Amino acid sequence: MPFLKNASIRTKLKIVILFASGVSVILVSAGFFTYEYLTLREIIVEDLATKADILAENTNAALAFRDSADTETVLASLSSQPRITSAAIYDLGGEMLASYTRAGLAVVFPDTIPPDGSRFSQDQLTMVKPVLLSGSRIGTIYVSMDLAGMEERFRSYGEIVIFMLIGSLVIAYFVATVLERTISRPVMSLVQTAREVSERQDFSIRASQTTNDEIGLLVAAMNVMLDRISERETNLHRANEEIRTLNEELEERVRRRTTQLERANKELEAFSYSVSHDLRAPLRHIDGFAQMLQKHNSASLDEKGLRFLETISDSAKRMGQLIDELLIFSRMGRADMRYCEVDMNGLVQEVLDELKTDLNDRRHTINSDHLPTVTGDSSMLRLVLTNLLSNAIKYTRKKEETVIHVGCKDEDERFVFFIRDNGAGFDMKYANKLFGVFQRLHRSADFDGTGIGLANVKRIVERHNGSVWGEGIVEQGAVFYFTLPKSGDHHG
Amino acid sequence: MQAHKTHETIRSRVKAICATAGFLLLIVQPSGMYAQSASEVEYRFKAVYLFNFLQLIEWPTTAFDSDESPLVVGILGKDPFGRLLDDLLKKERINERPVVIRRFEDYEDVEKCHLLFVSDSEGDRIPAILRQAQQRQALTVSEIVGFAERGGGINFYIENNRIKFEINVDALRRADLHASSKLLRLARLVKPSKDG
Repeated sequence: MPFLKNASIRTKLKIVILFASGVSVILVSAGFFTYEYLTLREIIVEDLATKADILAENTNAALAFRDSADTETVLASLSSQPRITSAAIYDLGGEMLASYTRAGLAVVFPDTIPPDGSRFSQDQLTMVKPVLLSGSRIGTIYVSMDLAGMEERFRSYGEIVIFMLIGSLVIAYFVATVLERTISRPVMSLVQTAREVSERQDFSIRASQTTNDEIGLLVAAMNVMLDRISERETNLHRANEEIRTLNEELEERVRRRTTQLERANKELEAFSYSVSHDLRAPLRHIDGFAQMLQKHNSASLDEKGLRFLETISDSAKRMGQLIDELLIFSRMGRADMRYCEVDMNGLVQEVLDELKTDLNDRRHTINSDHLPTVTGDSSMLRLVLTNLLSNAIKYTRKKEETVIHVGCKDEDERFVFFIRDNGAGFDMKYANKLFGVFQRLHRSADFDGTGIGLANVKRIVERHNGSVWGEGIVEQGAVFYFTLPKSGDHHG
Repeated sequence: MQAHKTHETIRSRVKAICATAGFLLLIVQPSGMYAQSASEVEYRFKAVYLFNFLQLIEWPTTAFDSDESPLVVGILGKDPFGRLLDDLLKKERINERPVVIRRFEDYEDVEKCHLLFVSDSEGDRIPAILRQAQQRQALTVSEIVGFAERGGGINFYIENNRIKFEINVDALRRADLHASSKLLRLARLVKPSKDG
């Protein structure tokens, strides 16, 4: 019954009960009706047969003596039987001896006598029986009866059946209402419980078991299921609590460690700064006094002595430069970033102007693509460009012509800047050592430098959330790349 | 029972008797059956009526020697039926009893019989016949005017051209015979005259 798919179980039960009782009442009524109909027909036939027999018995003598007057008299007694419409007595030759017709009726008797027996026609029952005298047939009786009464009786019987049907359906409806509750109430209660559980997410609710049938089993099974869920819920909750506690502990530990680390870092930086700073004073003394010695005592010193003094002075200057760069390196780690819009074209030009003196009179071709404007710390980015460009100029010193190209590739999230030169290059197997502090791939004798420059570059680029790498081929040149994010956060 | 005709035919026959016109018979008889004499038709009916009497009148068991004993019909005097009665009753059984017909010339010859038809010819000897019949508990039937009044059982007469019969109830009772009420209803009941 697809149209019942969405009906509630109560409606379904009611409909099922009503349908079943309705069908059975209809069947029983139909059975009774049929039985009654057949019985009534039989009774009517028997009744008419009996009347015909009585008439035959009462008229047989008159028929035997062919006394039609007496026969008419006997037949006239039928006027007390309003259902009998007509009757006739025939002799053996088929000739009518006497007849009776109910007053007010125009009856046509059959031309030839029908064979013995009863016959239902539209609204008539006709009965033909022999008239016997001492067991021998001496004639025929014909009687016909009006069935209007029978029809009327059936109509009233049909009305009773319809009333009974309606009445029993009404009673069945009330009985169904009461009976369906025995099934639907536990189901409804179960549904209610399930709804509460799912709506409130409260797994401590239990359905009450009131019956021991399948619904009772269902209730019990659901309660067991709720027990399990509730247990799991508790376990899950406990596990979550444990995880949260552990997490908090972990975070606390990380925080503590971070604080320790930060403090240690600061101490280290402060230490290195003060060390670097404090180292400068004695160096200045060494340099100063070496120069003073050279100025005042150059006459008394031979050439060898003068060269020693020069070496002392150079070494002191070199150490001072080292210390300066170390100071910058350590400042880069601590200094706050001051973000602003930086026009990379301008910055490159400024740096190249500063470095122009390093080129001396070397043949050179230095060009730059049009570079974008980025967000970053202008002085730090200047340091990056200074380091990379001065490296490029430095390592192309031995070439006939210095060729440097500054470019930029626009990638999705970032700009990739690169500086390409045609200098000494490097072996790619040392590429990972390029950006370490004091890491040098060339001898100082060939190319001077402290070994801090690229470490600074790396530090600055990483503070801008970028990355840096280099590619090189020995004696053919190198390309250094650094990336800057186009936008977004610059924290760290 | 081939003698059965409608009463219309009977009436025609009786008229024919009265008119004694043979050709008239042929005109009135619509069925065009073979010509019969008026008296033959009349006695054909009377034979049937006798048979009906046998069926509608009950004889006491003492009137029979045994259960199988026949019903005896006696005809006293000149027999008006000829073969008609024999043909009619030959094969019939009444209450399991066969029917036997005896003919007697003289009333003194009459033996035991259940129904005695007294012919016209015996009109002179009625008292003696009745006396004897009464002794033998026989039902007497005749067609002699006044037969029933004089103590006979049943007597045929003609009324409105129809064959009718009268019954002397006392005579039947004296003979210990029981007549069906249906029979009595059809008959004219007579009381015996004082001198009966």
